[in-house]
Amino acid sequence: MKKLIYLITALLTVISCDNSQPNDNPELNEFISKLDDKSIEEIKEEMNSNVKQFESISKFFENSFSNEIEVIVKEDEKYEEAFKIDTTGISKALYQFNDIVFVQTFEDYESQLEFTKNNSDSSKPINLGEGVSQKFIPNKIYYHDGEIRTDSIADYEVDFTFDEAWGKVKPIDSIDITYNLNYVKDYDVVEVSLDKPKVTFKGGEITLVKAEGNYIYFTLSDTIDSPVRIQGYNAEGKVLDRSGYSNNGIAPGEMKSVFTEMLGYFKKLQEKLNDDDFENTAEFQEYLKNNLSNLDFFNDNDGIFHRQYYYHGNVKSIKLYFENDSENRETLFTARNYKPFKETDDLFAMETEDATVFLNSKGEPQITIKGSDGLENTGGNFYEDYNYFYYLNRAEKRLDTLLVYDVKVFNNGLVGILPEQENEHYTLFTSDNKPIGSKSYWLMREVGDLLFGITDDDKYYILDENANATLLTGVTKISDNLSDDRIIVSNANSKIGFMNSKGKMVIPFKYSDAEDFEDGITAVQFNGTYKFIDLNGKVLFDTKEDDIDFLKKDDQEKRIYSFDYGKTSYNYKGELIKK
Amino acid sequence: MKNVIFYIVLLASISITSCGKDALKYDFSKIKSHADTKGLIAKIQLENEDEDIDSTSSFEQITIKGMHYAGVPIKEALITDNYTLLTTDTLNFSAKNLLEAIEANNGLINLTDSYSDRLEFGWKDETEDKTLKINLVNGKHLAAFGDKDYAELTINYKPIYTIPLANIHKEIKTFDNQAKYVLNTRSYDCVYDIIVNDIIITESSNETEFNLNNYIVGPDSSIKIIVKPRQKDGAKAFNEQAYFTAAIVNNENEEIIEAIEKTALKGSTPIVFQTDFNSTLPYYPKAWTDGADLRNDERLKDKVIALYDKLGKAMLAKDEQALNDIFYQKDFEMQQLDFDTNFEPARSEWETYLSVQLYCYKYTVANDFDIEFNSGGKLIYTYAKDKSDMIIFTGKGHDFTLNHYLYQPKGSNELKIIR
Repeated sequence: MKKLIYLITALLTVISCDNSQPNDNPELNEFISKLDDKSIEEIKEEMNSNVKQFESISKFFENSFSNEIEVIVKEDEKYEEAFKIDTTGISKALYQFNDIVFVQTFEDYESQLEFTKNNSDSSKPINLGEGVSQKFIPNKIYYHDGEIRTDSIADYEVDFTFDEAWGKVKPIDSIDITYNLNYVKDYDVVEVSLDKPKVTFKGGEITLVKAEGNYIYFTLSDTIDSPVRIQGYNAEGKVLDRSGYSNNGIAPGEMKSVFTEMLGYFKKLQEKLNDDDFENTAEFQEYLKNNLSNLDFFNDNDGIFHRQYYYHGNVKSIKLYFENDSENRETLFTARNYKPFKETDDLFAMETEDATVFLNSKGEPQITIKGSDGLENTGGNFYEDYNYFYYLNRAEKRLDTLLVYDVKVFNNGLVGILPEQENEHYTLFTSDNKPIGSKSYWLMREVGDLLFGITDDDKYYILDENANATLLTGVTKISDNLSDDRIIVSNANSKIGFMNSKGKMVIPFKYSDAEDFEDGITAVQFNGTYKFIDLNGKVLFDTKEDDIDFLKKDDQEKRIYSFDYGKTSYNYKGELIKK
Repeated sequence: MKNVIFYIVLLASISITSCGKDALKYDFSKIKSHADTKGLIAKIQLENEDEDIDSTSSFEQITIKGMHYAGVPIKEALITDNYTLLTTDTLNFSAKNLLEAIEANNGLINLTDSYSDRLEFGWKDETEDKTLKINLVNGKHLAAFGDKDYAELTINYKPIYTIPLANIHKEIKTFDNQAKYVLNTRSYDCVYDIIVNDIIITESSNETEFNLNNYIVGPDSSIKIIVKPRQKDGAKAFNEQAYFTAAIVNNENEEIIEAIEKTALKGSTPIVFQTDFNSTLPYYPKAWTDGADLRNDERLKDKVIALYDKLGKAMLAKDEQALNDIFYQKDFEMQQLDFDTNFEPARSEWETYLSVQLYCYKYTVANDFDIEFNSGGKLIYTYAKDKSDMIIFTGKGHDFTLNHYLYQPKGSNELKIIR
């Protein structure tokens, strides 16, 4: 199913974006080669079950291209700002990648990656101003098994919204990516209107074919580069808001026949497949390659590109903005795996059409379990799907279903299980699903690699991988963050101190307020005022301030300490910011 | 992923248009269930073979002519697995007509609060929830009803349950006198145990309203309230402002049956208030009245476990009849004592059990528990010690617990759930 939908979209891309012959069209060739691992029987089945779907889809296209031309009354007109280059966000855009993560999943012997910004409220890169475009170019992939890959990776998509295919099925630790910003420095403006319907530009022509009501139709010679922006104007010269558009290699009115032709082509393929005309997949692929060029549609030789635009107003002229000169800015960042492959994991699960395959860190299949799907690793040998938790029993090469309320696998390999209900205590198990430790805990917390167990009497224990519990004397509260190897902890008197990532108290309980460390310093309150201290608690400077504001960030995402409603501010190094 | 979304967007936009006959032949007001809807689509499909209609689709948009709701023409029907959305023609009094047609069947209705520009009406009954949204082209005022309107009627068909447990409301008898006896308390800095007819209905509580009907089995009743200091911050005595007052009220007519005057609480010893009261209920339940005295039953503990075990097995086996038998007497008596003919309590309890069946894969019964004897040993309540409750149902991220009053009917050797 998914494959055929891919086929349709791939072909739509081919028809709408490319005028070259399909024989030497790389996208089409790539698509055809995707059929390599499919048997001719599978292809036949997919084609049969999906021609009907395509019929429905082509119906949609018939309707969508028959937008009606309207005359818009003056009070219903909507306007937008005239084009101007906006480079204000560039500096911020270049510094936005200090904590980028990706989620790696595995399906049918291919990795799928989706990226997320982990450092702000929005998980996606900031919106750029007009005339600014961005590109992500992967440079190096660091696989968990030590392989570093640099060749043929530049085309992998760094996508912050969807899963994208990233090649071989092997856990990735991190990826180096170049972020490239390009902004227009200088541009040409070309205007076409009913008074001046034809303009010669850079050896080609821009021609206004029709302007009626809210609709305008114009063509550009194929030799002219795409404009960075096109804006429509009403009779008074106001910039109109666009309501829809269609760009195509072929003239309007011919789309319907294109789809009829495409559908005919699919039906012909279906018939040939059902008649067993192809002996194997290779033969089918060869036929596909040779026959696509017979479709009239691909012979778009008129040399012009057709653009139809619809506006919230009556459009009289069009201005096209063409880039003349541009500038590049680049930055390099590293994206890390949000759920990195750990030594305690050593196998990971991949979905195939009819099974879950467990592979080692090199991507080699180790255990195959037929019929299971939707499994997600929760750490080590533990998995879950929508309905159940599972333990991968390697000795028996099977999945054991765990009929419990919750299973939590911690970084140190320990497993906490709530056997029956939410408000009971966690019992501890080893990564081999064997009970361990004598205590149970009503709450388990993980900060960095430290695992804390909290008992009924509100005592905090650090638990090692063997469930040995070390009592943290005096601790009554622990912050969620580990930053600069320091964790904020408090005692029963609400005094704050700092613990390091090994669980050792490095700065005793003495502050009445404190922030997490960043860049080796932080602000803490004691004896009434806020002082900057270093990682060992040594006072660097007394601000003499008794009221701290919420922490802020500068343009480079560095911390600003602000006091007394912004009257005094210090930068991330603790240096006074002069107003 | 992109491709799938692309496909869904395309599919959502597929609209089937037809130029069938104009006669009103497909009436959606006759449809009472999701299965009926499927039947109607199949009929439309059969009679409009040239059109591409898929009666198996879970998202089908139909614009065949001849569709109507009680005579009001429907321009488009969107039929999904969860709801049916009917849209009338525009600019032809259709919204007004549709509102009148629904009101003719379901009674007059007031506007639902709505912040949008359109008018909204809602109807709820046992088989369907309906929402009518009226879009007035000329503005929101009702007077604007006229030729410039159209409406969207959304109908959610509810599953029909045949099991008696989900249909208790149909068995409830109503009377002229439907007394509802309630204990209302007012107090400061204390907690209390309430014992009605020798049944401990709550312990160390500070709630202020208790329904008594469920514990009344005849005209003569007694109530005992043990008021204790609220042991906050280690305090063992009553605070100097502590007081307690209570009244038994018939909520039906606000009549005060018995009252305990406001009393200042002093010292650290619990204070006991005790009184008898008469009730006049048109219906007294059989409840535990013919139950055996369980105080000397040596096998009582095993019987408690056996009952909860039977409940657990019935739930996991999705044995609807067994669940019905376990809960019916309790639910019927309680709803009858509430004189509640509304369909919702029984339905919502049954749906809770269905969701436990759907999400839970195991049950655990407490093995260690204290038994409390009430009503001369005829009624027992158990307090689990090794578990949070007597029975816990567990699923992935789901839990559900139960704890009930039990009795043993005369002539039986098994306990039954009664409250």
